[in-house]
Amino acid sequence: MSAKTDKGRLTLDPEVRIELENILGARNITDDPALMSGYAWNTGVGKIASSDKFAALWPIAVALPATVEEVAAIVKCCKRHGLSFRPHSTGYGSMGCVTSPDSICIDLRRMKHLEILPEDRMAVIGPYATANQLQAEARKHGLTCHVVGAGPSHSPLASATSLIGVGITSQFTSANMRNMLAWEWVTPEGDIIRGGSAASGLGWYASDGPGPGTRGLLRGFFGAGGGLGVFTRIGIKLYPINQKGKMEVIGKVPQLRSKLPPHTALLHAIFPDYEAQRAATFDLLQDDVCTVLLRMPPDHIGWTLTRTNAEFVQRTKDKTLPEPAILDNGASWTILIASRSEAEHRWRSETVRAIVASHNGRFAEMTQEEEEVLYHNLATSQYVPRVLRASGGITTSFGVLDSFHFLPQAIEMGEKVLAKDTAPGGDLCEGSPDEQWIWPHEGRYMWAENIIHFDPTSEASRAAGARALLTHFADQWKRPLGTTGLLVGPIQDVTGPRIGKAPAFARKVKSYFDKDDRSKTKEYVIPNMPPVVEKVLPAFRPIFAFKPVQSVMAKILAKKGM
Amino acid sequence: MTGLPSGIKADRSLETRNAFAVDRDTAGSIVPQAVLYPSRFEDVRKIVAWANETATPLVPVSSTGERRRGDTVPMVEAAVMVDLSGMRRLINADTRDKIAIIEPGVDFGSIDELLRPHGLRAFRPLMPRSGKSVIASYLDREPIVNADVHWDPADPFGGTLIVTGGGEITLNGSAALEGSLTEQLDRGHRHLVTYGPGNVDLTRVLQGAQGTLGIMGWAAIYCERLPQVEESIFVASSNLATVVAAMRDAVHQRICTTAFVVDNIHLAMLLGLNVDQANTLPAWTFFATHAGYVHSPEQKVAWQRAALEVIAKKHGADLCHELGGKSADDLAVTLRDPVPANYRDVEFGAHKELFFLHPLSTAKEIIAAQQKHLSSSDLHNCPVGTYIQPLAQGTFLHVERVMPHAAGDDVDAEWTSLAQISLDAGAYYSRPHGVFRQLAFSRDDGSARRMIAAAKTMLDPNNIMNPNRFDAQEAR
Ligand SMILES: Cc1cc2nc3c(=O)[nH]c(=O)nc-3n(C[C@H](O)[C@H](O)[C@H](O)COP(=O)(O)OP(=O)(O)OC[C@H]3O[C@@H](n4cnc5c(N)ncnc54)[C@H](O)[C@@H]3O)c2cc1C
Repeated sequence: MSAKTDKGRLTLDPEVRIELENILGARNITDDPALMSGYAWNTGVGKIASSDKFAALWPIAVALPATVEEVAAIVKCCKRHGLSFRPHSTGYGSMGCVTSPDSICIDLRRMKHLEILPEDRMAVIGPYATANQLQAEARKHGLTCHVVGAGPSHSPLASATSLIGVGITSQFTSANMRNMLAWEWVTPEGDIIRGGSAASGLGWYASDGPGPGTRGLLRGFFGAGGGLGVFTRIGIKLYPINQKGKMEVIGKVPQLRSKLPPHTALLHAIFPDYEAQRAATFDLLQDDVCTVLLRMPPDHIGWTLTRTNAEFVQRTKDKTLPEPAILDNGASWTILIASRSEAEHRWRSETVRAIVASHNGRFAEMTQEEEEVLYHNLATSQYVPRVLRASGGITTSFGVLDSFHFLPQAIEMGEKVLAKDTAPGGDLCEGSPDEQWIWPHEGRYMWAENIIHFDPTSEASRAAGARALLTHFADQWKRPLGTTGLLVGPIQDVTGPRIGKAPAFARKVKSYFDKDDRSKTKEYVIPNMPPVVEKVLPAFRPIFAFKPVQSVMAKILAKKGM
Repeated sequence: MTGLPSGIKADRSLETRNAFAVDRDTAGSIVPQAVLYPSRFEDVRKIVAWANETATPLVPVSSTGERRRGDTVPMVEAAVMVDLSGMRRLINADTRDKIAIIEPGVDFGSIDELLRPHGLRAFRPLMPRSGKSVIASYLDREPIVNADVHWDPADPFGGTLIVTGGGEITLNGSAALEGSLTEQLDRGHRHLVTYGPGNVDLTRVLQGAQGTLGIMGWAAIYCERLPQVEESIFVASSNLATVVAAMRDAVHQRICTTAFVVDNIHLAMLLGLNVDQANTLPAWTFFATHAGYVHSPEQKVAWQRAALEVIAKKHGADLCHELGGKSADDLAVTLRDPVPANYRDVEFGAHKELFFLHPLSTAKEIIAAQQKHLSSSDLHNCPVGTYIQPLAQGTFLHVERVMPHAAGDDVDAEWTSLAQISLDAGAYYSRPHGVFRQLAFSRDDGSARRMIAAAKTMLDPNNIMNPNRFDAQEAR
């Protein structure tokens, strides 16, 4: 790994290449810049990008293993030669890009195992089985998988083992850190470890034991984001639905839609204000009345129900957008009721209608076509691509996890953060400051995340996006709305004791399994931080919360990317 | 003998200490040096700090009454028991969010009374004895009978406070917030989330650890609303596959709050009948409860019952309201009725147990393998009951075999061989207890041992928490 390219990037040492070729075969290792550029793009999808189309850091090489043993051999090879690595499943967004100049990208696309065990309502998957494929296979058995908000092209294994895992149908499909069953993992040292029933060679169904639930060291809320070796196979829980077989799709891209199955209804309830919505929510969560509850900001529904941005703008001006897309109707729930019998459906529909009415709510008028578009989006989790259409650059915010008690405050805080820059003349994508996506998990608690739209081609807009992100954290420090789900990297340490000992424990885990920090990422925890620094960092919170400091940090992020 | 930490109630009497040297299953020989009784989690922290300074092993215990399974019997000399059974406060309960925060001494005998004013009740395992600590039960991943809301093995935990073996206080899940617990509750936080914050899930790590990693000071626990209407029914068949299929469909369709399968011997025990009367019961029974909580409860229960009828018909199972002279609704009441004795001991005075996890799709095969062994062993005339509990909403099963027997009977060797046969047939002993404590690791490819050692190193670096409980537990 001695030489450097004319761009100052490290090159693959011939000795390492030979070793990797011996492990993988020559055709499964490359350092061809034309191919590697595909692993170094920088779009601002999910993150704040820099001004360059490409990331500053490129992998030294891309390795394509086909088995867990090959993954382990690559990791050991990296260790022998002092190289780092980054696992990459489908690479949706820029979250799988390498974060150090000495990293090899381990692209897991040849590991696409997918096996449905319908009676046990689960599947066994490899890293490159996509949510789309998993859902299509599961549907043949009257089942579905949880598809995270990112949409159908992501890897459920990457999601379940390593990155967040929440999605718009979490009311009935939970979240992937809870859907993960047994697991197989290559440690940053190259050892193969299995967890739960898989460690005893007894299948992929049980996540924990024998004894302690040690998976909790590796997977909390956020995931290690590639900072803890490579997960190669998991069992994943599936969810029974009221329809078996292929989901028929009608219409043309982008307005794909699907007919609602029998005994299914899609309603859009609108409340006079957020207090009324909150009170109704507590009622809607009793007795498991609704299959899905989703609160999308009106603009986001508008982008979904119109074919193009131009149509959206025109219809906004003409005031012809459907009711759910009208800004005043933000206190709302899109409700999916999926029943199996007429009697069940009657009870669910009548109950929902009675609850909505009792909180002075009403139901929006929608055409059948609009209903079918929303249903299709909901069932396959297509909102992110639709919402991305508006500006091409989105990132997200705090991720509140707590009681629905905080619903009105979450909306208010989100709007406050975005108000100035979404107004005409502001630096973010012009429009409504209401960008809050909200849904319940398992009939119990709220997830709320505030989407930030920026123009990735404008440095000022990127800076505004970063500023908004930092303001969210600072506001949460001041007035907590619940756990901040999306705490990662340095922001965890600054948040400090407020979140207990989590960063310190994550660091213990990191140094226990990866003392040399070979499994490199920015999405986990700062490794090897001296205890004094760990202790004093939270004291800098007021400084990080200080507006001018935030502005400077935001400018740096806008220049260099996240 | 070391000096004990000041300000915490202690008992060094031989009588008290001796009581902790054994339990019902364990003829231990090591007498602890003292028993400490913390009354708040701050006391627990103080005890753990002292134990680290003085290298004193600690064995936490939260339940009262007859203890079993050996996990609260010291395995090293000079241990001190940390008896949390006096920490019995219900700290908070919230009807709207269906959640409560409790201390470890709150037991199944008292919890429903504590929760009743809040319109709630606890999720419980199958007929727990009244002295069993709710937190200890959930910590041991003891299965709850409510398959429908058992999404994941961490259930029914929300946020928690843990004092690790290293003496650190960790706030876990959505309890990880600034301010005291009172301040958090006043702001409206309800600690509904168990995983996290960030990328650790220490509640999950502590589950199944049998006191070897830390001590839970309090926990938010998901609760059930008190139903307005509740109806139970037996779905019976002579064929195991039939009832398992019916239960699977019902659980997948989420129409039952309680769902489990028992054979006639186990059902006889639950109904308070003697084993001879088991012959009058169906070979296999799926017990199902429907509940209507808030919204049109009669209507809800009616469509759920109708759906269950369709399922039973499809699989050829019979619906019965009454078995062995007792109605299904009566059994539902019995299941919530706190009694001090273990129901498995009532007829003969003692029992053997064996439990493991297994996929639902092959339940029939593993039971058949066990029956084959039992019928050719010395136990062929002994009653062995079966209890099958769907977990994670029917993704897999807890399978439990129970043999009631007279206190003096020597059946250990035969029971151990049943455990071995079961392992060969695919039993996954996720909770290593009793005769399968060692067997649980016999098929391990080394992974479980390594991970336990890792957890021990990180959470209990001085190895003070229940040492020697797992072979693999010594810190690196
Ligand atoms: C626009 C956008 C919206 C999103 N919305 C959501 C959302 O609503 N909810 C949500 O949960 N997530 C969301 N995400 C994040 C998304 O969940 C993940 O990007 C996705 O699930 C991961 O799948 P992937 O195949 O793209 O993984 P990759 O991009 O390949 O990897 C994602 C991360 O996981 C690591 N990783 C990947 N595979 C492995 C492996 N096998 N072993 C160890 N580490 C691995 C990578 O190094 C990287 O850190 C969003 C992302 C974007 C870009």
